[in-house]
Amino acid sequence: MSNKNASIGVLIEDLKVSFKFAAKNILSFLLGMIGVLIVTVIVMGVAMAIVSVPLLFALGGPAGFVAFFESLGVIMESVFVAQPDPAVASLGIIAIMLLVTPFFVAIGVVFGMGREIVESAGTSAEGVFVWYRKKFFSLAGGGIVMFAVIGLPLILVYGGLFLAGYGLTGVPAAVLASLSAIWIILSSGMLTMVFPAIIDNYSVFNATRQSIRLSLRYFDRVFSTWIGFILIIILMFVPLGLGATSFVTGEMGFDAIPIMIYAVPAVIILVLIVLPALVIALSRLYMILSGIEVTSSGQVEPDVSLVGGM
Amino acid sequence: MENGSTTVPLKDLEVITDSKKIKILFEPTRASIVFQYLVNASYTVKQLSDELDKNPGTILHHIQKLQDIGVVVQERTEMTPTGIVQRYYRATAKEYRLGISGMMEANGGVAQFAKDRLKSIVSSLSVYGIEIPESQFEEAMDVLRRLIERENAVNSDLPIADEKRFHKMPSSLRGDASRIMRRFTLEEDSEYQKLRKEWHRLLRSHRKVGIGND
Repeated sequence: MSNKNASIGVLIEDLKVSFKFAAKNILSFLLGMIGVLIVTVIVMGVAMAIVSVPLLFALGGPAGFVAFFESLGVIMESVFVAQPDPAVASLGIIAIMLLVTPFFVAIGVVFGMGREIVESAGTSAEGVFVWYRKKFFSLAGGGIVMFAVIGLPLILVYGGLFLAGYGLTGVPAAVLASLSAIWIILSSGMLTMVFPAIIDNYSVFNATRQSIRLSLRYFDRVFSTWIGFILIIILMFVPLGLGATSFVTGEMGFDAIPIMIYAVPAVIILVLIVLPALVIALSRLYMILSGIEVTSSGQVEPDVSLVGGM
Repeated sequence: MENGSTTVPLKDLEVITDSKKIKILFEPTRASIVFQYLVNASYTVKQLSDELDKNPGTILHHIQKLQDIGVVVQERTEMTPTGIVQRYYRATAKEYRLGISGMMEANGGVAQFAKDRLKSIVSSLSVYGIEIPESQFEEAMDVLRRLIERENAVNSDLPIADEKRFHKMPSSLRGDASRIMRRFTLEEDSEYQKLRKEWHRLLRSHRKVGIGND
């Protein structure tokens, strides 16, 4: 391996290899993702049961339970919409973040499969459960860090505007939307190596550092791959976007049927090929960029001992 | 910071005395990975999984555990024509020995294993005509344990002046040079000499048949 830097040829090769491996391991990925999804739902169910069952007894049975959530709904509406309170809203955001943590883990374990494919050309569906068990907390932490870094500035800006009562329209809204999009692409691009680094046995903090370090040092390679995949996904969904526009404007007619038919395979291809290919590409990129290049010594002598033991 | 990179020097011999590390190395797959393969050459996860007939993911988990205790490091990364990125791993020493005292402190059957092994060694000497009676097994085991521990301590301290050259040497050449130097260092260690004399005296006193070249 000699080149860690980007070029069109390298990008094409990266994409080609990633899609080839994704297609070759389609069944393992499908089964692995289904398995992880089931485990994630079970984990969330168990977590909710741990909270809900004592709450059910504490609130005096189902009637009290329902009344509690009705009043919680009123409080949330008041906190987020009617009389926004940043402190309580922040607590709400943290609660939501903890609730979606198992999904961060679910995304992370797919990177475990990606690593196995990149290193040995194959993976097995049951392998994801080992990653799930062994890296649960690190992957959850990685997901929370990514969510916080990418999402928090946006929440602060949009939340701040909302609290201050500013409703942006026209050019300022377009500028803010563009800046937000740039921030999302840039920050998520910088953090693309977090999950692969966690899979490579780094702690959450060191994985984040490693991801930022690699993406800055090999900016062209990381971002060409990242933006390449974003463009592929955008291109895949342009027809659906056009269809959605005509649906919103109420101009949807029989000509929208092909678009609706297109949507089904597009989503299937996205889930079964494009996203696994993205995971493989990022895992592979991580392996290449964090790898150690050495030149071979080219030894040809027979490896025979002459001196005996003690 | 690379995760367990080749900047870690290659030792000639490492004696593992930490009971936690010993317990980790006692797992059969991990023991095979280190003692059978990675001390001799560098291997990829795929190669190890083929050799040991295990899932690559399982091998990778074991490798990471071995990296955590500092026994295995990443050596180099290579890309195959098909696009697979192969990461080569190697052991941090050319030879490992498990410290008997550390084994005695470990739980989960390791201590018993160490004791049984020492007993087996003493007992197995009978095939060479050295019959140590049961009543003297404890004494013989104690002398042998101290001798092995001293040998390990002396040999694991063997300084390597040219780390780079040592790493580049073919393993047979490295082994030959290492054996000569280990012998030389042991000959110079008075405590080892004392223990060896004690051990040899014990062996001689229980010798039933003659040994060639004596």
